[in-house]
Amino acid sequence: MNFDTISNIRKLAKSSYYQTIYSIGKEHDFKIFENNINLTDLQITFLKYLGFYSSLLTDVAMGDVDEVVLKYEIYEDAYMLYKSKKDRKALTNREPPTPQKSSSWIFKNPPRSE
Amino acid sequence: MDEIQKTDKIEEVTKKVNEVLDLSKIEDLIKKNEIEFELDGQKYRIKKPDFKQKQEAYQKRIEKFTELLGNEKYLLEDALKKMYLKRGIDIDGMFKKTVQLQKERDSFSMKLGELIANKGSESEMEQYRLEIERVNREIQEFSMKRTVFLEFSIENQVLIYTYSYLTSMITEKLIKDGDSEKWVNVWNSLEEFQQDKEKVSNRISYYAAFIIGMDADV
Repeated sequence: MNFDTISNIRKLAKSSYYQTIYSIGKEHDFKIFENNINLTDLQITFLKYLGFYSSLLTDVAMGDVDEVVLKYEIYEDAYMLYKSKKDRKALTNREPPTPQKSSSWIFKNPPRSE
Repeated sequence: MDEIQKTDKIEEVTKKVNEVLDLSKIEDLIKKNEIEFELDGQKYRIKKPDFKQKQEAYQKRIEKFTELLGNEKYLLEDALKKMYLKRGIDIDGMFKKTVQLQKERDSFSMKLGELIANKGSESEMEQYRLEIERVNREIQEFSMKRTVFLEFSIENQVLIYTYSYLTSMITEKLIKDGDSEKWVNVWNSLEEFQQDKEKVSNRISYYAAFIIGMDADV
């Protein structure tokens, strides 16, 4: 797949029409394609970009990133790459959760009544 | 045909594919795993190969690979690379350079991403964008060159053969059958497909390549 084909797939995935179908589809099992199985590479790439733009457009809507990100595909890719690496780093650096004291006493046999 | 002419030819074919595959056609290709189109008044349909067809193609691929391997006129990719190296063309070096360029692009992208996330200056963003575009062009150039140089390797010939075989299997045309219509195979064999009018098979090959995708690399 060349750059122009991918760019066209991205335009479709970014459109409000397909983004709406995608968000409805996630909640209500709405079909995007006529075929459920044996997807083509083009369809798989399209699905990948639907998810990509869903995440990016949410960030724009939430004000996490300025609309300038939507100006060029290179901006979109760069922001998402930075975001994913930052998220991954934050996940790796997170301290492991300290095990909470187990309330073992509840499993003990109740004291026998004399 | 020298290397420059070959690269020009690839660019010309890519341009043609883009003309054929405009936004509406891409949308048609996405909706389902088949495409219908009309050519010279004849309706055609190309459907993604099913499991059985892919298995048949795989068998044919093995046969073709074994056949070419037994013929000393053909060379494997590695042998071809060694021959090129003797003539001063380092294909593995090109690959390494591509990997290096991809790392360079990722580094620019990270800086640009950070700038966007932190609402940095737009002129700085623009500079990074231009740098990334330059690196992308270089990567594309190396990739095209590599494709041209390795065009005649056994691996590439087998891949082309598998594409052609699958295309000849999955292309149908609509014909009249009494009062109704039905879809029938356009070609009965790969040989028939290869001998068909170039215009018809070329246009079909464009669409088939998108429908087949990685299935040729079974």
